[in-house]
Order: sequence, then C-alpha cells, then structure tokens
Amino acid sequence: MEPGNPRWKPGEVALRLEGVRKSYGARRVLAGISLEARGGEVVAVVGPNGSGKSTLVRIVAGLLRPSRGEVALTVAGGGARDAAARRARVGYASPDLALYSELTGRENLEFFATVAGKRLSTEEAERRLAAVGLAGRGNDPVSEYSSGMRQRLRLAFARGGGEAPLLLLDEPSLALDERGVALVGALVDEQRARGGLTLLATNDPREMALGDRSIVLGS
Amino acid sequence: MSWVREAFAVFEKEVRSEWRTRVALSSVALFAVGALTLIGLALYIGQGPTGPQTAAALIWVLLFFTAATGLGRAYVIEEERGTALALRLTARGTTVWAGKFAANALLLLLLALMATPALLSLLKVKTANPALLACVLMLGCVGIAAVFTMTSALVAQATAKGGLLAALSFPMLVPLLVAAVHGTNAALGVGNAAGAFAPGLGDVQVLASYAVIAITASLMLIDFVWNEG
Repeated sequence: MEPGNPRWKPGEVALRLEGVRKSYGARRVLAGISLEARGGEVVAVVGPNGSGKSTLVRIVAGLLRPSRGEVALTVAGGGARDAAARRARVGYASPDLALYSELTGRENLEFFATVAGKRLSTEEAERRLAAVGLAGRGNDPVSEYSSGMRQRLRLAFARGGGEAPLLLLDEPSLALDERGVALVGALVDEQRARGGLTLLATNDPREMALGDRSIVLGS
Repeated sequence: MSWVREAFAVFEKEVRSEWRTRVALSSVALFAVGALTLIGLALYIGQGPTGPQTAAALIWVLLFFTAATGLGRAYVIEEERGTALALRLTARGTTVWAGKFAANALLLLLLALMATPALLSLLKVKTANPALLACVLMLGCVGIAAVFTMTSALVAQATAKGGLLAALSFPMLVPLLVAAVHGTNAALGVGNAAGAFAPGLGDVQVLASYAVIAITASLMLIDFVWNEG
C-alpha cells in the first residue's frame, strides 16, 4: 500500500467528542467520553473487553446513537454533526461487519461503491483487492475466503479509494497473519500521509504501537 | 438519476444473491407447491364442485401466506448475517427499501404468474376476464410486497420477528385483501357472467391507490427505521 499524496491540509480534518455516554437500560457502557483529534493523528482506543471500545467506534461512525453527548466531524470547514453525514465520511472495519458471502470479493466492493453513489471500474476494484493482498481472488465468492481473507476484504471496504477523512478500525488485525498485520500498519500510515484521522479500537500491543496517543476506556 | 442507479444496484444484488442462495425462492416454492398439493388432495377426496368464490379466496390465501414466508426476510437476513452494518454505512435507506421492494414484488408476481393458472385449472374454474384478473393480481402483489418489505424493516431488529411480522402486516393488508378478493371474484365471473371490466374497476382503483400509498408512506418513513440505532 503506497502512501498517497496529502488529500487534506493540517487542521482540515477534526473530530470532537463531548461527553459521549451510552447506556443500555441501567447498564452504562460509556460514561462521558471527550476527545479532540486532528487529521494526521492516529488515536488508539484501548480498554478491557466490554469497556465500550466498539460501541464508541460505532457511535463515531454514526451507526449508533449516543444516549448523551455530541460527536462532530469537521472536514475542510464543513461540519458533520448528524449521523448520516458522518457515515458518508468514514471508512469502517470491524469484526461485526460482514460482507455478502454469496457475492465475490470484487462484486462486494462494486456493490458498496455503487450504493454509496460512486462509480467503481472492475480494474479499480481489482487494484483495491490487490492492495490488501487479495490479487487474483476477486472473482471467488466470499464464502470461499478464509477468516483472514475476509478481514482483508473488510480492510479494502474500509479503505475504499482513500477518500474517507476518518478511518475507524475495530480490531483490524483480527485473524490476520504477519503480512496482514503489516498491511494494517501500511493502511494507517497511508491515512496519516493523506492528512486523514484514524481511530483504532484495540487490545493488541502491535496495533497500540501504531497510535500517536491512546484513550483508555473502563479505567 | 443517481438514486435510481443506487436502488437498481440493490435490486440487482437482491436478485443475484437470491439466485445463488435460493433462500426465499425455495421457501416460497415449497409453500406454494405444498398448498397447491393440499388443495388438489382435498378436492380429490371431497369430489365436490368448487365455485369461483372459493378459488378467489384460495388465490389470495396462497399469495398472502407465501409472501409472509418469503418476503418478510428481506431486512431480517441483513441483520442476522451482519451485512446491515455495511449497508447502513454506505446506502441510503430509501434506495435499500426500493431495491428490496422491487425484488420482493418480482418474486411475488412470478409466483402469482405460475400459481394462479395452476390453482384455477386444479379447481376447474374459468376466467371470465383475464385482463381484469391480471390487473388485480399485479396491483395486489405490488401492495403486498410494499407492506411486507416495510414491516420486515420494522421487525428486523426485534426478537420475535416471525410473529411480529404477521401481526403487523395482516391488519395493514385487510383493505387490500378485501379489494383483491372482490376484484378476483369479478374477474372469475361472480356476478359478472359477461366478463366485463366495469364490475372490477372500483377494486382496481382501490388496489392502485393502496399500492401508491404503501410505496409513498414507506419511502417517507424508511429513513426513521433504517437510521435508528
């Protein structure tokens, strides 16, 4: 994965979380998380199992509504406070995210690009697959992929064409071999070089090392 | 234009996925074949004559329950397999609904196209006005598909999906089913021996209005259901 040209100037991408809380009934998962981060940064979200790392990432992605608090993503002066606007600006990979197993890897990428209102040529889809180490496997159904290959496809889905100012990676090295882990590092470096922001939810020391700073949940 | 392209991509994905997995297709086909076989057996054992009114009712019983079996899974399957996350992240709620509705309507229309002639020939009932029957079936299927696609989105994240789906859909579909059975009666010659279109025109208008209202209301409301988290 080649680091691309800077897409965003310093300060153009900013994420601000203010007192974000999430409760399910009486059970409080997140208790007032605040954070300010800027483009080019990699923030690791760490904490024990059940501390709310994935919940926080989902809230930032606009996939889950916080019980209280505010999330604001600013890109080149334009704000995205509502969830739908944020969803259009994030790249997201998580173990909970499944892609269509009856479709091929290439068909998955083409489908999700099309429904997002973008055009993706077959060549570009193949390039994106090759970038995550799935060259030559684009025409195989995802049902025939190993768990590591599925994780690589999730990374290709999250990366897209490198247009997301905010990359949200939830346990990105899960099921990956050493080369796959290196791929995660390259993906994070690429995002940093573009001036984008990365939020990395992890307990893996190798992934924690990719972060410029950490926020610790459940402490 | 972009909206149409996105909705068509969802429709295309639904058809492709269904063709490869045959989940809804097999359950719909199994139910339809099972129902037709049971009706055939009942007639063979009973040996009694069957009127067009019974035929009209049986057509809609078959279509309603087949739809409940197959179409209600449109959104449920996305939640169960975990693909709803990726879809929610990339697609608009209205395009997902429109694509899924179109695929559901196509499946139900194909079923109606195959099951109705089979049922009518099994019951030895003649059609007095085939054009009226086609109109009633087409509009009825579109309305049923719209309601089941919307209720599928509503119940997708609930625990008791199956029961909720039928409980929510049936009351909403009562006006459609009344007009559909009445219109089918007219098409099969009940009180319409000449096979005219006029006796069923009111029912066609009710079915068309119902379909338009169901589609419009679904498109207006789906974002509230789809984006809720």
